[in-house]
Amino acid sequence: MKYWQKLAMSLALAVSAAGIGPAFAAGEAKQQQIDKALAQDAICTKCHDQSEERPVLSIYKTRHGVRADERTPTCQGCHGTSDDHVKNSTHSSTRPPVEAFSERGKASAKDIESCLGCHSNIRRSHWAGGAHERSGMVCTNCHQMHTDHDKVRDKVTQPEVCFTCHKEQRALYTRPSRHPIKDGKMACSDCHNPHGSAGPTLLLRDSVVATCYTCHMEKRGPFVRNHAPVQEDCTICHNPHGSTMPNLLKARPPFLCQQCHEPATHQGFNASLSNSNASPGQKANTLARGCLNCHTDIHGSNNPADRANARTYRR
Amino acid sequence: MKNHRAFPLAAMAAALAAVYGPACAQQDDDLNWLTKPSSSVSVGAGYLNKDAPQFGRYTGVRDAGTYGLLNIDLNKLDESTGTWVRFKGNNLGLENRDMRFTHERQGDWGYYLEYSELPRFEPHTVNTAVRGIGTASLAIPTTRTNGPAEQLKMKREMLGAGFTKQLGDGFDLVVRAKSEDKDGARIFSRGTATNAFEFTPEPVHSTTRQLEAILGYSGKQLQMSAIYYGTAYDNHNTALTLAGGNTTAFSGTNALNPIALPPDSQSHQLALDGGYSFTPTTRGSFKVAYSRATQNDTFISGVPLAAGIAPDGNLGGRVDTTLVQMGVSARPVPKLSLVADLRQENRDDKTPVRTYTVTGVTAASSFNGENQPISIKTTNGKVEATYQLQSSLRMTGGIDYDVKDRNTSAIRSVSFRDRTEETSYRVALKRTMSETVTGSIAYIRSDRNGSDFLNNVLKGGATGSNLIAPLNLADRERDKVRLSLSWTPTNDLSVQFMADQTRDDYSARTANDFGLRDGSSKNYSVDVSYAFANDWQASGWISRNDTLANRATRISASNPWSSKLENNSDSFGLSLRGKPREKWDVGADLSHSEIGDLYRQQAISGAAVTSLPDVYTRLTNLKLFASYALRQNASLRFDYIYDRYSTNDWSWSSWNYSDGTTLTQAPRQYISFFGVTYIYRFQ
Repeated sequence: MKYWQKLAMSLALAVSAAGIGPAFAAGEAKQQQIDKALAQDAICTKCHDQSEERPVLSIYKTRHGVRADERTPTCQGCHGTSDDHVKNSTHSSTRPPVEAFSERGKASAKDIESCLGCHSNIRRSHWAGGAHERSGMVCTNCHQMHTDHDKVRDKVTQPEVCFTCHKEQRALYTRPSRHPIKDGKMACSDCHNPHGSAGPTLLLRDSVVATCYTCHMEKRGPFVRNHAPVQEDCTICHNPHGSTMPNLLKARPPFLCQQCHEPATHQGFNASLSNSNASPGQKANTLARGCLNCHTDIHGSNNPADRANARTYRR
Repeated sequence: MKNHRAFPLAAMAAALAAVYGPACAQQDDDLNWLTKPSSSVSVGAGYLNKDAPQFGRYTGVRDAGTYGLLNIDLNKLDESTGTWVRFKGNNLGLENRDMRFTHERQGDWGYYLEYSELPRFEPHTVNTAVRGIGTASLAIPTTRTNGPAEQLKMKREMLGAGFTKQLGDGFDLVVRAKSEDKDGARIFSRGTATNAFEFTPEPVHSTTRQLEAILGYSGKQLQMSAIYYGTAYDNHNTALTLAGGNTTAFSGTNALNPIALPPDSQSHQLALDGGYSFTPTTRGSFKVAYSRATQNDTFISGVPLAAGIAPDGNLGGRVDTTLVQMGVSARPVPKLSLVADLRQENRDDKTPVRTYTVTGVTAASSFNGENQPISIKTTNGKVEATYQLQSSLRMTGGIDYDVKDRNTSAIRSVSFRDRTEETSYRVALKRTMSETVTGSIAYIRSDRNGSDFLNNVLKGGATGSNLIAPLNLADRERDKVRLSLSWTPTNDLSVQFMADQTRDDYSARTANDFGLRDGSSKNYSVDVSYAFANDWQASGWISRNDTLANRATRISASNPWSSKLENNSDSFGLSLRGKPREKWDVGADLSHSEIGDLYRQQAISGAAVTSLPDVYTRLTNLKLFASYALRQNASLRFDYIYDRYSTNDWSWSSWNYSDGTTLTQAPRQYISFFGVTYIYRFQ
């Protein structure tokens, strides 16, 4: 199917579904549920409107503002009843803060219970004890609740949220060899689950290789001739966050390969731009793709024959 | 409280009306804009002033010329039922477009359809006379010929769909499916050690599919999901077949035909994943998974096979992986929190071992003609405790343990050890110095060792070259220090400083320490953000990142040599957002990186070894935008992007394939992109 046919199909679906939407009539009970929730919110919205530094009414544009969903919290559901704040029972010039999330960026571990009360579901079952929880992070360190554009939920703007703490990755992702993150086609959450996972380094899948295979399945094999580090951990040779070497390699061949391979024959040649130092093949260790000029099937070969050539990933 | 937006306070009254009466809300445009999901369509055109090999690698803006700019963001909510309809289309006029349609009744059901394209342009221009690029049959010229310019490119095209359903009583169902086609060609070659290297671009034509179904349960204490995850890889090209080439001068390359391409494969996983809250302060998590991955693609034809290997046979590859993971997190007393977990992943390669070739296998071979399945069992765990010493001081201590058990064959060409064990000790202090200053320091010490190294063994039983402990197996001591300081003197100003330094020390394997000897990395960064007026915010960062690796090997026994590899980079970024006039919004983002790769080589003894020239890469990207509000629901946006890339990388500059193919790129690439879009918003 051509691109424009797909676009037309999706648009048609969107338009038809938009027309269907209002046809779902709300029942009387549902309307009572909505009215009750909005009335409770009004305790807050009678003072807090869009002129605040952090606008509150825009929450009705978000999933947290859908009152027809009985799971949706009211203002008090997240911020507590905050009686002292509402009634200003201390009669102070500045009202006492609300009970939870009184100031952005200073939420406590106790505040997070407001979120986990609803969000401790299967998608966050590994949050407790995970790297982000152990470092004292809370949901509002990354998420913005009162906006319909939560930066960290948008793949284009998500990386800048992650880079708030992960400075090394910020520097790496601009490098010439990279995943298309700064181009808005990938986000950190395509590989990592920041809410916790059973995999290492919060990876989405159970291992490094399993995560990489989701997009690079051709490297999985198993092959007739397996290259051992490929089967163990892609990050032995690659830095997924960026590199100046092609294909995200951690080092330029031959240096990369010489970290494992014995100098039995040509593997020990020094890198050179000329042929004068050793055999004519030496230049091929360095220029173009280095060792990969010959060893092109470096992730594994499925050729069942030819000991020398197939086993050394040349065919 | 500081006012952030100049919205009339009268909206307060309208807001009250809104929450009590939807009918009133529909009469009040201002309130609608505040509380109801809005949609937008932006239409425009962009112009790229010259070809942009680096800038256009993934952006879809590669060749000079005019581009259509189209973005659609539709959001509709039926408030009475909680039913959303959304459609988002990004970069619809470009080659990296994507779109997603979602229809859901929140808390009940939902489904989505998505489509995405991702091009990947090779930044080098290829001049080649090799014909058939992109197909599985290539014709290589028989004499050196530098052919016309070709543009290598790969493209991914993905279709996805999924649905969710709340089943009641805490149960829900999620199903996601994705199919992705990848087409094009990428750099590839065949070569021998006699300076014969022919350009044989790999044809890429494959399909990957993923299907995931999750049945979840969320109760008050127990959350659990039963998961099926299946994948399939289908390569439409089994082998690359080559014709031509200079068979007289380079007879060696002739043997490299056909070249096997990645085989089809499949995987299926069943898993149980979840967590259980024993008490309000004690929670456990677990995952149990079993996966079976198989590879039974038919062997390529036209190659000699050993007796017993059928021409239409296959590897019969099978890898079974079991995962068992459990963890607990507790706060037994308010000042103390504890974390412990244990995990074992057993990747068991059950591929049958058979003799695939006897040709050329001699007593001096480092290979016996059999395939070598690779199994790895990884066991790791950690314990960690955090104690609040005072109200302003928190201390954390932890131990991490990681063991890998691997298999090997009796005959090896690389040194090996069955087991590596790594233990890490961590201690960290975090202190709040004042209301505005927080600092932390952490130290990690890791020590990796393992079982005895197994020497390289040749077919005849003799020991081969045995000088290097591979980097992932070698004994290693690692020390890491991490420091951070955060200062927020006012709501408008924040300053953050972070530094970390790591040192790796690999134990000596030989007198000359062949392989990796030691390495280090240093990262420093300072971030500042400042709101210097109600409508003006600025932020900036500067970062220094250095890595170093020392290693050695030898050309001959009398000519060992060492290398010192450095990668040093300085980067900074600046960002500005402002509102100079009521109808204007402006912004600027600048990033710049200077990266140096240094290659210092020297002989330890024997003939001199010279260093390689340093490689410097500089990247600058400036984005400017200005948006002018024509009215409440329409605006014009002007974008300007300046991108600069320069390098003195010599990788391809003097390289010629034996068939005459060359790859080149402009060492300095300065491009400008102009865009103007009309944005219409509606509800």
